[in-house]
Amino acid sequence: MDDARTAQTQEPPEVVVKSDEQYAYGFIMEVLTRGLYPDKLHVVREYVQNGFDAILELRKKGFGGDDTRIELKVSPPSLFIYDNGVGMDAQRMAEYRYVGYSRKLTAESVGFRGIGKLSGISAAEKIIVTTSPLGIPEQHKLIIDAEAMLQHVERLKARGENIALNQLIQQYTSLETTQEDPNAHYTQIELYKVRSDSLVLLDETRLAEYLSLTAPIDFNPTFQHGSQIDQELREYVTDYETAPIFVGENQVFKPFLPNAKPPQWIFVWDEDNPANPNPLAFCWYCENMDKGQFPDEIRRGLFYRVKNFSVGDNQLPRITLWRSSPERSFYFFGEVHVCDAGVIPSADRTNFEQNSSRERLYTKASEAISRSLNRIAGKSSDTRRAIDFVRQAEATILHIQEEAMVGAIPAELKVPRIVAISKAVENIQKRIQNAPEEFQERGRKAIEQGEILIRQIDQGKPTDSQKQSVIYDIKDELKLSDEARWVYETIISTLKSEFEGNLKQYERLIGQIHRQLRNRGV
Amino acid sequence: MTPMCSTDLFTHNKQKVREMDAILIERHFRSDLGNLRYIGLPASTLTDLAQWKEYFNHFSVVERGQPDQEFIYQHDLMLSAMRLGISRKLSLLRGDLDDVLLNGKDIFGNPVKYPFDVVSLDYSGGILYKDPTGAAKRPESISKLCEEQAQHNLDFLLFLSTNMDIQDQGEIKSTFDEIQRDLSKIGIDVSRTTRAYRDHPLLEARLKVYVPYMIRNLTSRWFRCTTFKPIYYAGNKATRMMHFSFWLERTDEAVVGRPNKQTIIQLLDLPAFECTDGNLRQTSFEIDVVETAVMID
Repeated sequence: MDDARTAQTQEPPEVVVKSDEQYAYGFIMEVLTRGLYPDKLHVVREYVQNGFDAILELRKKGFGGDDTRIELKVSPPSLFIYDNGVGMDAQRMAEYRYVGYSRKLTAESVGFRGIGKLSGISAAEKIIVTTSPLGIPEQHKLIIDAEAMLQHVERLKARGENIALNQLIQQYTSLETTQEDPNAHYTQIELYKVRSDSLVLLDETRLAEYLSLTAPIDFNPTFQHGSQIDQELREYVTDYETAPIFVGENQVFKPFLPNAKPPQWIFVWDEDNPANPNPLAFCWYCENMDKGQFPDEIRRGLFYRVKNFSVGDNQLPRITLWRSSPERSFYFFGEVHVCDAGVIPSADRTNFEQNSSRERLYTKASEAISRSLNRIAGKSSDTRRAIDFVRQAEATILHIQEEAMVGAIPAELKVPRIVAISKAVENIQKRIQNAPEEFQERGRKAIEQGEILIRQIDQGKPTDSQKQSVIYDIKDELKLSDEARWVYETIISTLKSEFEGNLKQYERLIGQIHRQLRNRGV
Repeated sequence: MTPMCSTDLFTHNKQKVREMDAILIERHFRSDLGNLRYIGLPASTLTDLAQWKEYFNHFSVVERGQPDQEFIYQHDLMLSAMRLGISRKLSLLRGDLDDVLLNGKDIFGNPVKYPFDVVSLDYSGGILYKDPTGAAKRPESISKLCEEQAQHNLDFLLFLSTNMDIQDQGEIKSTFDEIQRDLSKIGIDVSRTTRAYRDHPLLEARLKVYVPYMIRNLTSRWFRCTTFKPIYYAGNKATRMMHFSFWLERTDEAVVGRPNKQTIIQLLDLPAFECTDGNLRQTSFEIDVVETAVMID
């Protein structure tokens, strides 16, 4: 291969380090990296965050049309993460060699602690970063020999010795600058030789699933409400942005759950501070069209998002917002976009840093969101029950009407039939106001039919006296003797008391007895 | 903003070669363009793949890199793919091309996913390269490649580029002797022609016959081989390069050993192209074609 690169080893531009930071020691590296990322997928999130920030910066400069993107490519033993954002200049690349140093502002960028860029140390033997900043004819290549660095720390640890953190990083990183097209702008990070405890980073399916739940990406185009939600978010959440992310051959989209009602919105305001014109949070949600919780345990519920990156999983809003009936949070899926800049994600992004803004968010969002959603869930449940009762009553009445038409109601079941119809009618009457219009109409009709049927059964005959009786008495039908009647009634009375509370069984036995008696021609 | 390559290492001549290859791809896969599969050893700028990206839906790319820094070259190759928008179609195989083909996987166990429609072998160390143990892995790896390809019963195009860094230990001479011997068995005397090639001052003239003859022999068990006119040119940093193209047509197992449509005499008579400043000029290296030579004798 030809090599036209005009490489030169470059001294990093000076980064101002506070004097007390000089005394940070190598052990911290191990803690910061391995300790901070027990779930290795979070390593990817850190780099995707940086890529996303680079794309936002490019857009801010007026560049970056439709082709801006973040791409993840698994090529064992490496994971490549590429973005064509603004790129990093020499100064920013030099900062890679300083733990905890970041020029990013919390208000503008997703990542800001200056730790995430080194997260790959916990997952791979080498981290190779190649970047070219827009407008500067340079390409910088930084190589961190993570394996050698951590081995060094462990060797020292075994001897009870330590090393200054910055010295350690300088020792195991190299930075090289070559010429590049000034119009080029990109960053590629390679996690080379992903460690055996981090192999999840080489699983494209897992990466895509993880990013679909955490990253600032577009809604799945097949989600019919996606574009409407996106529109609302762009209007009400000032820092809401998206970028296309690809994993392998496929673009990753935000998931959605089927059988959902159209989206609804909730603004969370700080009523204690009416001067604040901005909401603390903006929530969208879709309710399950079916009964109860969505079955998908991963995607159901609400997710907190800050700058469109998720914070925590679907358990976090459930725990922090729901004081009662928390199971109802899973009757919905949606997002709570946090707009209050004082609410800051924790370093591992499983929660928010504990501060007064967080407490205010939890309190106000609990009032606004969980109460509303519980009410909606309750109302939906009432509606569903009202519909169910109308349907049940219709079925009960129809069944008894059919029996009555052919005179197939045994005298023994006259009362139970009347009770069944009365109950069905009563259930409708109690809940008819919760039912939708169509079911209210059907309910009223069922009540009317039920009342007619009760009268018919009570009187033992249909309204049209020419028709046969709705009730039959087996004793009369078989012309039983007095003695036989006495025996029959004794048996039926015993069965009735024995099967009290089990009407179905009682009915079944009555039917069988009648069949047997008829067959034997008693 | 369209990404640009930092440096385009290709000369006008290489570009011409690429265009000629594109013509062959279009001619042989007209109905399959867009769905083709490639394996090869491109330059880290991936210029050729970028130009052909509409033809292919898969690129298996082999990169060995420089000793101790191999991961940097591989990283740069992937960066080029990302910037050119072909990374989603690309599969990176790390290691020596011959080893990858022989083992069916790269040094990290990533498998070679056969079959391929286009195979592009770039032998910067010369076609006759032998490893430190003296083994000539290149012919072996080509055989292995053909064996694997044959299992899928597909025809394919083979592109082969080599520089003139040839450490000939008599292989070329013995090839010409073999050609002469074989043809004399059927009453054709090509001694004058083979001598003219063998003694030609330009290595390109000798390779023009040697390489296609070798490829025909290596592939004959599974494929009928048609050689197109080779092109020789000055590449990057004025390196003398020679580029060969072959169409390998799967033969039915029942007719193994069926003679190639293209005879050895046609192969000897096949002219070459010299490419200068991106312009092709056909040449016979001033060697008479066989028919003429036979007639004169």
